Amino acid sequence: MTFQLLVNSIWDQSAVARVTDGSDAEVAAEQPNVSVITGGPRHLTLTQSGTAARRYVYINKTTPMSFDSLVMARADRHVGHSVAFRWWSNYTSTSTDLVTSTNWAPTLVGPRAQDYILTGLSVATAQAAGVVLDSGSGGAYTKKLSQLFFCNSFSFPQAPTVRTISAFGPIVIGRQHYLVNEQLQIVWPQLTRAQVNTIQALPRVLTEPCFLYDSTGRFLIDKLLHVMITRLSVVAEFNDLHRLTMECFALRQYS
Amino acid sequence: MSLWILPNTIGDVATTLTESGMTIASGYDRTHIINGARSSHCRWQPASGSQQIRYLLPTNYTPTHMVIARADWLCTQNTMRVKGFQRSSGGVWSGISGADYNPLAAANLMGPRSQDLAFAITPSEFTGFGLEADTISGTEALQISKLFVSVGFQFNVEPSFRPAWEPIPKSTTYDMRSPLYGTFPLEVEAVLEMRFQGVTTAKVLAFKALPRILNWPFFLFDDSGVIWSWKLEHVLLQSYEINTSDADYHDITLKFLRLKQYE
Repeated sequence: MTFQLLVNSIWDQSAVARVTDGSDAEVAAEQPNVSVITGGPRHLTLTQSGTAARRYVYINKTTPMSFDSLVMARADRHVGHSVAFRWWSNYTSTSTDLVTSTNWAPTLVGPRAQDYILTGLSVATAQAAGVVLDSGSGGAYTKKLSQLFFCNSFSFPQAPTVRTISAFGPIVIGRQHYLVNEQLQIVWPQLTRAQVNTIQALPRVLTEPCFLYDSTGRFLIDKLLHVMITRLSVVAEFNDLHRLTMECFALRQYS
Repeated sequence: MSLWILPNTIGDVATTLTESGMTIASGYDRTHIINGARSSHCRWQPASGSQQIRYLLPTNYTPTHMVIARADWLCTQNTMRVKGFQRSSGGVWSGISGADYNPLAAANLMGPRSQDLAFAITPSEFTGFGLEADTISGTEALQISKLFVSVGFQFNVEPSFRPAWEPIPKSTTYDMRSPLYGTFPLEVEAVLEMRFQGVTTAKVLAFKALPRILNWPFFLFDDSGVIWSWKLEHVLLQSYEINTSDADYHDITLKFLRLKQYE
C-alpha cells in the first residue's frame, strides 16, 4: 500500500516557470499567466494562442532540483496528442524524457478520471523539468494546461482511517476561494516526530493545494485527490509515536 | 435486500420527451415530469383510448423500475389502465411485460400519503420508455407529477438499523432546502438518516456516479415493505459521510430529506 502526499516541490526549488515554443523560445504573450501551473484553484487554466507546440518548464539557475513524482491536473485534455515529460540537467541542451508519446494514452485517475500521476522517479540533478505538448496523432489543438506538479512525495508508513463528508461550497484560504465538494478527515495513529516534522515542512502544505495519492484505492476510492489541507493536528501518544489528523477539502472537479 | 435507490436515469439522458394520443394542456410544461418538486406537474387535455408519455433515448438502456409520482391522479372515476411502455430499435412501441395495472386502483398506490406508484420492469426493448394510460370508458385527462424510469441501485447491504423519519428543524418562514449541488430550493418535511456498513469500494463509486444524485430528487423504494409499510419515499440527498477503516470496507451514512407531500 502506498499513500502519498504530493506538494509542488519543484516550485519551491526553481527560480522561474516558463512557457516556451518548440524551440525553447519564451512565448511572451502567454508568460504572464504561467503561474497557473504552479498551484491555486483547479479551474484555472493557461490557454495558448494558436495550436503550435508548447513547453511548460520549471527552471533553476544552478542548484540541482530533485523530484520523485509528477502530477498533471486535467491531463485528459492531452489524450491522443504528443506528450513528453522531460527534465534537463543542462537547460536547454541536455535532456531526459520520463514519458514520451505521440498518441498519449495514459491511465487517468481522480474522481472524474482527469488527472495523471507518475511515481517512482529518481531525479536529483535537474536544472529544469516540464512537459512538452504538440499535436501528435490527434492533430493540432489549442493546449490548455492546469496544474503541473513535480514532487518530492511523502509516503506514509502506515494505513490511515479516512472519513469523507459531503461539503459543497467554497472555503477561503488567505484571500483565495476554493470550490470544494468533500471534506476529509484522515488519521494516522503512529508517526514518529521526524515524520511529522517532514510533513509539516513540506513547502506550502497549508497554503496551496496538493495531491493525496493512494495507489491501490483502498482508502482513497478515487486514488488521487486534489485537496486543500486546512489543518494538521499532532498529538503525542506514546514515546516517539504521534497521532496526525489531517483535515482537508477535495477541490471540486469540472467537465 | 429490498431497498432500491431510483434516480430518473432515463429522464436524465433522454433526447426527446413527447406524448402520443393526447395534447398537452395549455400552460403546462411536460419537462416538469422529469424532475423537481412534487407540486410541479403536467396535465394533458382529455382524450380517450391509449395515451402515452414517451422518453426517446440516444442509446440503449436497460432500466429496472418505473415510478409515477401522483399516480393517484390516474385513479379516475372511470378508471384507467396504466402500463409501462418500451420502444424497439425499429421505433415500435409495446407494453412491458408484467407492468400492467388494469385498472389502477387506490390499493396499488404507495408513499406516505398513498399518492405514488413504483414497480419493477424487465424490458425487452431498449431505445425508449414511457407510460401508457388507457381509458376504460369515456375521456380522461392524464395528469401526473413525475415519471421516473430508473436503472435502480442497491448497496447490497441492509441499513444497519431501522431508520425513522424525524421532523426537520422549523424555520420561521418556510421549510425549503437546496440540494447538495445547485441552488434550486425544494419544500421538505422530514429528515432521515440511514447507515450502510460494509459497503464495497465499487458500490461507493457507483453510488456517487448515480445520475443527478447530488442535485435532483429521487426515490427510495422498499419493495418488500421491510423498512416502511408504505414502501416508497420521494427524497433529496442532504449529505453523505463515508468512513473507511479497511480495504474495500466502507461505512456510508446518508441523510435524506423527504419532499413535502401535498393534497
